[in-house]
Amino acid sequence: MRVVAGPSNLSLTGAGNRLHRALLGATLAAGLLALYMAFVYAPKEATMGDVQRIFYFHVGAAWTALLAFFVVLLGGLAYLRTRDRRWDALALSSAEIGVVFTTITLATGSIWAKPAWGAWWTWDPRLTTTTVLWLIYVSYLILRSTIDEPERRARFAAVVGIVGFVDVPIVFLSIRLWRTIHPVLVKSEGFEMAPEMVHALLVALLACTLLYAYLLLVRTSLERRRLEVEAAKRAIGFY
Amino acid sequence: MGDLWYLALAYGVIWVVLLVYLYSIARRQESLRQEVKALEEALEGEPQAEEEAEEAEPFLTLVQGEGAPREGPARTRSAGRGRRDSS
Repeated sequence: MRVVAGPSNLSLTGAGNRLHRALLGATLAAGLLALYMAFVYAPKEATMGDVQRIFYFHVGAAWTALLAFFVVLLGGLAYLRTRDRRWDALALSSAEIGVVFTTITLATGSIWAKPAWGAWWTWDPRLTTTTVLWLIYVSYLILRSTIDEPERRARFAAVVGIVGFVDVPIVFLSIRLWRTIHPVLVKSEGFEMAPEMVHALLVALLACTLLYAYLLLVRTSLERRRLEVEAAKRAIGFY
Repeated sequence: MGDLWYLALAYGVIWVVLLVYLYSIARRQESLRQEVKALEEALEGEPQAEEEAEEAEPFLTLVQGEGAPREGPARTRSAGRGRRDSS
């Protein structure tokens, strides 16, 4: 007897499999191109030297984290409106990936800060608000693990995901609202860097976004299968 | 420590974090796969248990006699259903 609708080996089929392969291929191609552009194509920065090459994937990871938390917001709103647990699965998957990318942002930022500012960490507004963002979504994941009842868990998580998003614009605007030592990347005149650096940054942003989409597809597929198994268990009286 | 050391450290951290996350997804996928397999085996095992009970019935009749209560097969059947209903 089949417990889940798809194949029991949990692989994707048909259109899902094609999308999975296409996304994986595009992610790998964009990732390799982004690495080439960050290390070879982009010129060495005059003041900071080679360590500035951290910048491309540091910004890429930060952008992806904010995108991921925006999807958590959308998933939460859609869940509260429809009560369809697939939206909750999407929000959970995106929150998890967002935490991964925020971790990368904080870690690479800290490593870059040491040679650039002379310290691994400083309570700069951008760093502080990003740490708060990371803590909010780690709490979101911890909260989920503490509630057993699925509907209640999804409802609480949706509310935390929506309220937590308030910190995202604060993170973005922190370098404009407060005095900071964090560089301002985009000004009213445009990017303050060489055109080759802008190209390398844009490709890194694309690579990170594709990686996010790929991870979201894989993680959401896993979560939906888990929901199917739960529903099957309930239907046949295993709970 | 030179610039290149920090650069290598930063990119190393990126790879490690991503690989750890991919590994955690793979582990959860494997765990779910095992759960699905166990569930399917449990569901497939139930009619099999009834078949086994029916196959065993003539032998039990021989051993216990025609009028003897058929505890063996009946217990097997109820055990199969009991697993469903118990939780």
